[in-house]
Amino acid sequence: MIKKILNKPGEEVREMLEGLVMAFPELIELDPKYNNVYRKFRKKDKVAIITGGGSGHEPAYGGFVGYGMLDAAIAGAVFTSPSTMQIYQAIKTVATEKGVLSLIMNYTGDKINFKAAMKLAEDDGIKTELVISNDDVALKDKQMRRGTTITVLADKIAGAAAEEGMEITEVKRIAQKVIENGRDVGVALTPCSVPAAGKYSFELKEDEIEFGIGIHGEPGVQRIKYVPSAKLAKIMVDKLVEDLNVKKGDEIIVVVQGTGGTPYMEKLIFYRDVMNYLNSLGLKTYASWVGEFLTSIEMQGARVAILKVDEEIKRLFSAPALTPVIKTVPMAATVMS
Amino acid sequence: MSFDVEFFRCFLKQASIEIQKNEKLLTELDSEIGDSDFGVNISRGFKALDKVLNSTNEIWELLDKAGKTIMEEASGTFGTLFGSMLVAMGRISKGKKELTLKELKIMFEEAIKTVEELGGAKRGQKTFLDVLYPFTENLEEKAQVETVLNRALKAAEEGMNSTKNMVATIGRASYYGESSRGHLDPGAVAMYLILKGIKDCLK
Repeated sequence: MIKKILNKPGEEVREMLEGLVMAFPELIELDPKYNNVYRKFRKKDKVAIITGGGSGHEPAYGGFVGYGMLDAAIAGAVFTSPSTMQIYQAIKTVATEKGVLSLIMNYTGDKINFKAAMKLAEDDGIKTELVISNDDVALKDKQMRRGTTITVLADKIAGAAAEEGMEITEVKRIAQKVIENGRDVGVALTPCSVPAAGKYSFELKEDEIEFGIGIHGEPGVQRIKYVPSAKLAKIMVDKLVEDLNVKKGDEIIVVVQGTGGTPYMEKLIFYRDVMNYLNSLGLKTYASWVGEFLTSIEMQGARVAILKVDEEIKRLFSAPALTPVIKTVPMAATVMS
Repeated sequence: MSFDVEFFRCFLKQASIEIQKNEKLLTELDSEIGDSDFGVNISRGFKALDKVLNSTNEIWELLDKAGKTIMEEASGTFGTLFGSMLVAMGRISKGKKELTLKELKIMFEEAIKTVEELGGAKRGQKTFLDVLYPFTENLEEKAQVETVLNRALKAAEEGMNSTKNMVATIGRASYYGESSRGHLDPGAVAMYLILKGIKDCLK
């Protein structure tokens, strides 16, 4: 058995969500039957934005529900897609005249269930749109690429667009622009373990780093020898810069995060190294986040994401937001969770 | 001969009986190329149908409620796709009290379209589409309804058996690659069991 602070396997998602809404009662509420987290005081005259997926990636996605970001987050079991009816319930609950945009990541189960739920909602006369993120550079084939950290930036930026009262086609265009201009890559020093499975998802030797990991504890695309933080930052950033084709003088938003089990000390050292290296390349950082946004249970590791920005993205990124994790006030460019 | 609400009630009832009767078989098949939860999951979905079978006399509403119930109770890929398929079949039969064989065929064509759209699978990838396609294609008004349905079921059975020699290229079974060959697809077997009861529903 792997020791975890839990009560009963199978109950962890609901209990975790109960904890989340207990901590932020002024921002969010829980539908315990469906494990859906809703924003309180929802606006009637804006596009509603929802996201969802398996649990185990906390603080995603419930941590991003609130003013200026998501109207609902739908939590499946650990690393398992939420069900169609959970999603359908969420769409019905937050639906407005302007429609509901589902912003999800490129995973088979999530895609089937969101599309099926959207069909049911359309039967009820609800306007729906779908955006799928595929920002993970680890896989060569773009169609196969998994959705990762850029999804959270898309939640923030499209969330602000919706808050401004934009129509659903505009909000969708902006979400897609963020996804096309963002890339993410992750590494693991240790695997993670799903509570119900009780075992680690892969094995790594003491001197190995798993490169190009997804967010579900699946093995990466390559094993590399252990390197110090600054060298690791260079390897990861190079991969992103090459794939996104950003050049000296381009402006970017940077997200550096741990994968769930990474100590704060290491996250900050690694953040420093990523920022220094980006600087040396002549890339201009408009804003950055450091902390944990989309994790893989207790995995020790790191992810770096960069987003190439333009004036529209910058304005929406800096627009106010009030959620459990992201609290954007004017002039606050750096978030630490 | 036409198909009324009693026919669809009977079809769902028979499907439920067959699936529950074969829960163990489906789980065994799934343990070969899946993650062994299929039988229990799908059986739970069909068992819940009892709650809605007698709740309406409208064909579309019966199919709509049945589909949503299965999606609610059996949230795996099969439950979601089969449930969506029933909802889609209901959607295009709204307002109709009786359907002709031709209309039944159109319903199943709509079902296939929905499944392909949601799941992204095509025929020949070792899924339940390899049962649904031959069944639907054989719903031609060339003979008496009973003969046509028997022929369609025969084709569905052959379709099910044909999945044994296929290599799965989509879904969880595709992780098994070449070693998925030699095993029947559990979803295809479930789909055949679901359709099989149809012949007992002709008056």
